Amino acid sequence: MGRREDLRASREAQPVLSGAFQKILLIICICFAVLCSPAVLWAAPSEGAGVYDYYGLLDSREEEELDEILRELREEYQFDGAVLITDDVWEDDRHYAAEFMQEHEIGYGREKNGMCLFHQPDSRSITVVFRGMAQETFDQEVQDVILDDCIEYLREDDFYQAYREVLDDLEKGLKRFSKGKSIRPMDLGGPGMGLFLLYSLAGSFLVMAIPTFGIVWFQKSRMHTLVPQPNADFYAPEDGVELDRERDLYVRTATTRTRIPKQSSGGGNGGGGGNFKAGGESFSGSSRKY
Amino acid sequence: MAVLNYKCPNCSAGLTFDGKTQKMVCEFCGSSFSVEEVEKFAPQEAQEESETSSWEDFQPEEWGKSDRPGIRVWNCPSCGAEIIGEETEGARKCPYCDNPMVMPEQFSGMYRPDYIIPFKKTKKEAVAALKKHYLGKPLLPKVFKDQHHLEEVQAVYVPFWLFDLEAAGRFRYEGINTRVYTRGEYQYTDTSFFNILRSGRMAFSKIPVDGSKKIDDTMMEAIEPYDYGELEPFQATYLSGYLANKYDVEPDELTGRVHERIEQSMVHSMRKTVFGYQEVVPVNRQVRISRKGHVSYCLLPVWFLNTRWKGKTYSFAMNGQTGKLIGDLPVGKELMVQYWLRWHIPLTLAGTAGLAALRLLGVI
Repeated sequence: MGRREDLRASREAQPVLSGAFQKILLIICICFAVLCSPAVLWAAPSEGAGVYDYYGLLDSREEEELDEILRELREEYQFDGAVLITDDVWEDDRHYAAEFMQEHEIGYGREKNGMCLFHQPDSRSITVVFRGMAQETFDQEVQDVILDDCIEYLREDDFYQAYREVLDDLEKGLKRFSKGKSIRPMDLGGPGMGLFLLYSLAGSFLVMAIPTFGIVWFQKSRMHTLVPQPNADFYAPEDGVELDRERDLYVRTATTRTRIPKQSSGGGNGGGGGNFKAGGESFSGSSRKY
Repeated sequence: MAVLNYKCPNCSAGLTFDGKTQKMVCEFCGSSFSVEEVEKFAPQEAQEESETSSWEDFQPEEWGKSDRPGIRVWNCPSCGAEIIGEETEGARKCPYCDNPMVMPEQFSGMYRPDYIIPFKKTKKEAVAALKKHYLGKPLLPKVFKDQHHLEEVQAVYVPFWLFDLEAAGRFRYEGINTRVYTRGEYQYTDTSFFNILRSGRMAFSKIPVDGSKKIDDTMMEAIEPYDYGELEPFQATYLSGYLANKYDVEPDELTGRVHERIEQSMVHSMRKTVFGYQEVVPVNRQVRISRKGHVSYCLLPVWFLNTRWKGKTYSFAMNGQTGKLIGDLPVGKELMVQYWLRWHIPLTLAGTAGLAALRLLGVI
């Protein structure tokens, strides 16, 4: 009897305990879901991001360092970046980079933002291609600044530093964008505002010496009025010279022909930039020779 | 040696020519007479230099020709003072009695001028023009304006030769026209060449060149032009009260500069007849004076103003007819540096501000 009562009591008590347990479990689950969901969703970058040195330009330490930077960018800003170094591909640089991104799913994470830095050392060409929202954030002017910054190092064959420069600019831009600010060319490469003012001051000082010289020279020339007459026009008839012979004889015509340089629609080897389509998707990129 | 002294018929004081009223004026009684009136009663006033001395047994030394190269001795017809002047002098004022003296023999025979332009600008106007010349010159030291003093202001009739010449010229040019057009994948540039010939003549009338050695030729050119509409036949009366020189350079010695000026005018005028070309390149030119032409002798009015500052003489000349004043002014080096900075600093700051604004606007 006593056992039966115990069972009943335990049966009566069971729903009470399981309800509380369920509630606790539910709260824990919700908290867990809330805490973990961004990490689950944001930290789902594509596995393609990284350094692809098919040319063998970088040593393993440099490659690791660049990989580490790209990984940090991915973790902090959910932005996929890739550095692709190859032989000459003999096709449009930007399209090649775009197709590479599609193939390796770079910029296909949750945010669908990505960038590929594509370098062909043999043809001395550097290309940067963006996909997703990054196309608008890193607009044409910003892309130009990114390339300007790295080209200085490429010309000196300091390839690692050139790639670092691009990734630094990328990080500066992403940092600014994460604060809700737009990216301006001045936010990336070039000197800071203080240094810019200093350069501007020095440049203006040199340039403005030219008009100043003109003004001072004019005032100095006004001090010198003892000048001889250049001609005898005061004493000539108003209608000037009386012509007795006037002949204009055609001699010859020389014609030169120059081929008009073709405008590169893809912005390939000749350099260029803008939006383009590849594999049915929209990309934006710029290419330069150095 | 005859010296003319135009005397007032009312008070016998010396008459001087007044540029403003264009009349002979007596400074003492205020009477004024037209040049023609004075010419009627003046010729009898010419006086011959006295050869006698008033002292017994005193034989004054005569100026021998060899003793006086370039100088001449005159006697003032008013006070009798003996005045030593330059050989070319034709009119002046007696330094003792300030009476105007005119030496008509200096302008007689071959030295008689054909024309004269009487003074129109007065001494007061000359000094005012000089002060105006200093204005608006930021490089002129202020102390020059304040401390300088006019050493002399002289009104001088300067002898000029007026050349009437005709020049003929033959000029060749190469005319070039360029046309650029596009056809297919190519850009074509057609450059057409033309052989241009121009031949013609120009008549120049009364090109002035000063006929005095001691007067700076550049200075006399710089105050040109004179208005020949006011040329008058020469009359010695106009000289009264002014300095006047006769020429000491023959016209043949001056043709080089005249030809140079004529050639430049020909080059300039002939070039204006070539048009319709994008580029005109002179190939060769020949200019010759087609006939010797006519030369006339003229006295033109000039105000000379000399001023001294820091031991240096600064000379200015003003056209006595038109009032055009010329003359180099000293340039203050410190002022020049200050003036430079006064412009350079604001321009630099403005440039920097402009660049900073462009940078902030994201343009650069």
